[in-house]
Amino acid sequence: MSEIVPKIPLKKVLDSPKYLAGLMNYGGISVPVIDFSLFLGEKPCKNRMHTRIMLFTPSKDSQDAFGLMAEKITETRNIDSNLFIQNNLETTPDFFDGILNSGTESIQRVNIECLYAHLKQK
Amino acid sequence: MKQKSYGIISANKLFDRTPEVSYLEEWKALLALPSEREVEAKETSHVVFCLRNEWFAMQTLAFFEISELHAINPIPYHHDETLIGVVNLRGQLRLCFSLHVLLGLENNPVDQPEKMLKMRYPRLMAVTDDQEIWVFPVESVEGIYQFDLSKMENVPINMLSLKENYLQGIIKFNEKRIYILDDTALFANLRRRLA
Repeated sequence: MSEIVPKIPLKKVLDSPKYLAGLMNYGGISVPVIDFSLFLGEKPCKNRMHTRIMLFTPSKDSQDAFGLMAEKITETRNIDSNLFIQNNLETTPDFFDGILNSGTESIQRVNIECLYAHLKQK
Repeated sequence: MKQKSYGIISANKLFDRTPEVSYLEEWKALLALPSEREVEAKETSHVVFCLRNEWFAMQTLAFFEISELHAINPIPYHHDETLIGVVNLRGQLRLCFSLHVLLGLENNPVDQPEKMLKMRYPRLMAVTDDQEIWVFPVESVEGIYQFDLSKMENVPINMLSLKENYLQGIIKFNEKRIYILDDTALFANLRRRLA
């Protein structure tokens, strides 16, 4: 992840999937932004202060950069990666590569390279 | 524990509000600007000092010490006007040269004590090429600044007419024209003349 920015107004793309929230002008480069909430479910991200865009560059080429919009991005945590356990359900998308049950919450880990490949296929 | 959870709840409430349009527009304009990280860092640190009302700068790495003006003891029977004398710097005798003479400026400041007294902040600058330490007096030291040498302009031809050229170029900074000195050429010349 290279940067986390607020949910700024985006340029809409015609004839695009619903989950593509739009294009963001990031230092002169058009970066596609995915509404992760809409990508996984039916509801788009709420227009709130805690809704932000995480910017990723899966390769060295800045043209491959993409943004992932999600809600409640309010904290970072240090978690031992060995604590994530594999979910063997076939219905689970391949970009979710582990789950951590912590207290009452379950945290799913997203593999960004897999997600990027998944998005490219679509 | 309760206090901590109240804090988290309050913070979450703060984030759970609609952002103002002006705030988002401001961010949009900010993100559209070229990233600072993409601009290659070419700035190098330089010490800026004054000689005869002209500003000069030399790489900070070339400096060993900057101290108050000490007594400069002339060397008997030595007639090279570049070498002013020796200076006691932290108990060690160091050769003191005149950058004024090397740069073809007016006479040595130490030749005219009344002029030295008029200087506001005279200093002794000790420079080194990792082998020798040489010292030279300056009228004042402005400070340490970062300069992007790619923005350097060429030195006027009349300044280049000197036998030895120690000037790399000119940087405009804070309404000052600062001559950037080539420390490698300066040290090579000092070694040849004062060795």
